[in-house]
Amino acid sequence: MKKLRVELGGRSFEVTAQKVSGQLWIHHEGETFNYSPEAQIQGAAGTAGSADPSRVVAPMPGKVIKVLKKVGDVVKEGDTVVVMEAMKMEYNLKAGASMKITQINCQENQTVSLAALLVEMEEL
Amino acid sequence: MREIKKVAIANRGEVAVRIIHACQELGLKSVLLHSKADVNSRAYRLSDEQVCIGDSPVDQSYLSIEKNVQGALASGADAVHPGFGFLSENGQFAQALLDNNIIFIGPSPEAIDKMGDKIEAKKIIDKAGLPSVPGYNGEDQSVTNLRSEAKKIGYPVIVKAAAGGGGRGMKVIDSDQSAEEMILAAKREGLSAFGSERVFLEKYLNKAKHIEVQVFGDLSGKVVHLFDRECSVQRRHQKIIEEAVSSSLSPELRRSMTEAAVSLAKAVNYVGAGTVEFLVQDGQFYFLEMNTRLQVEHTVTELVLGVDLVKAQILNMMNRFSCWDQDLLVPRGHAIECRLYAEDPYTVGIPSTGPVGFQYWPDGPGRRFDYGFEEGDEVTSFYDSMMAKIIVWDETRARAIKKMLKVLDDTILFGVKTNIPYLKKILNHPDFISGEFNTQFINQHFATGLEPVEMTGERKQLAEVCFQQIAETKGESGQIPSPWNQSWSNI
Repeated sequence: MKKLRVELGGRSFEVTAQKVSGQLWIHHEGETFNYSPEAQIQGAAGTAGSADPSRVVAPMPGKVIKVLKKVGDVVKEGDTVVVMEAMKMEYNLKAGASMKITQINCQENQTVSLAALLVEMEEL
Repeated sequence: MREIKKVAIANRGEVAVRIIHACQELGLKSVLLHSKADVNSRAYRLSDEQVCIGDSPVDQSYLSIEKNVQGALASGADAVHPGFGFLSENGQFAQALLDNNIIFIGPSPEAIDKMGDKIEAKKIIDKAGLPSVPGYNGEDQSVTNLRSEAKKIGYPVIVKAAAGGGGRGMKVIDSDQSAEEMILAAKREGLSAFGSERVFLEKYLNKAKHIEVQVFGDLSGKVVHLFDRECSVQRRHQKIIEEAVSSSLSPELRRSMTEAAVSLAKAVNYVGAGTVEFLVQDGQFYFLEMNTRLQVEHTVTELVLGVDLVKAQILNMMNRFSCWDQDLLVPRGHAIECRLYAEDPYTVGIPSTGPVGFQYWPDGPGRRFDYGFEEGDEVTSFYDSMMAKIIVWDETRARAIKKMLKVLDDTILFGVKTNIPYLKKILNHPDFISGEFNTQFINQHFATGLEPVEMTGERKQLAEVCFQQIAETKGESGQIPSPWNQSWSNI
């Protein structure tokens, strides 16, 4: 951890910051942010849609509870594709765009690791 | 009565730390019964002795009766404190310990089993004259009969498939006109989803508050109540923010509820700390369940009453406890607890795992921090995501809310994302501030998680400068970035 005083555009900022696993964590004016330059490049504009919508990946390690769609199904943005469970809670993994499902790489009750590719889709 | 010199803790995380602190203050040795994953934890470092009882998955460690009993025996512990969750409400565990001449810090196995069995519990509460949610669960499944039973209960009524779950086969009946249609629909759904068209009816409490009463029984049979807590801020039945005492009970209602809770505890010869949970709507209260253990949110009761429930639990089992005088228990001021979950607040709470970085807990008067991780420890997906609890006390509820907001601003937790921004939004919500909220609060206002905050150019520049200036703390391999995150996200 470091307390830093950063001069920027003639102004002085006091922050607490630390790098953990390649990511920078900053606490500034009552809020915590994290930052990594790689993600910044990948994410271009850094919007929520920066991830590839054709790939549904596990956002955490856990168990697949339900697979709600099958290969060939057309999904709308926001449709739940897979339900996962981790830490006693259920999470709906949703389609990021309207697409067609081309492959499903998981089945119900399967334990999956972080970032496992669960469902693949293609543009309509 | 066996003397207690050494207490084994069949739990982990912040509650294990809480129990270790109590042991230390009482001059007792503590033994942590832990899984492989929890070698790197605050409780491991604070305990006097440690026994690894198994692998990280809960069924191979924290949920195994045999491994916990063996661990306690191996350590020579005189007593076991089960904390909450895991085996804390398992009558067989309590019995297995007693069979091995180890004291279970909690009620008798009989009391645990009675309150854990829904049908048995219902009999006891009916006998004790406690109100439960009115309903019909009879054999006559004809639509005519169900309709007349629904009318008797009073609308709105919820009709549920007896074999159902997860919201399927559940219909709300608003009036007599729609009763037949809804009953038939629930039967149809029950039949297609679960193979049974049997249904039951319950009064639908659509704007109920979750209010619970803390009770405590000593070995002589004396039972006192330690007033109430309000826990209406829940997401999928998981509590997020709790307060003591509830700001919405009239003195009459509080008296009726606390009396009911004490009579229930007496009916099962309750020993130690327990909680009677109620739903409260339109000035009526309904029994929900009794938790035969310490609760996560026991802290707010401790702060408004100036008591130590964990030490009381232990001393009680040593027969060295002089029970509080009911008349001298008077709540003072207001306490609020926020549960810190390791999760991404911008994605409806997807858990965040990984190594824990720097932490700063902004200490001060009326501020309490119960936490289980220290820098360098790791949040894993084996266990639930509660990392810590922040509890504040102040003279009034309004001041306590302001204090909590300030504490949340100043708290620093690096390495994993936390729900702090979510907690702040809730505490700032007008319905929370006014006290006019119920268990639907999260569904009504925060069903979709928080809107991601757009980064200002200034902050981005700040981050870039800091990134250049700071060296990596540890050599851990980089985490795979989650596609659910923004590359820049406000934690």
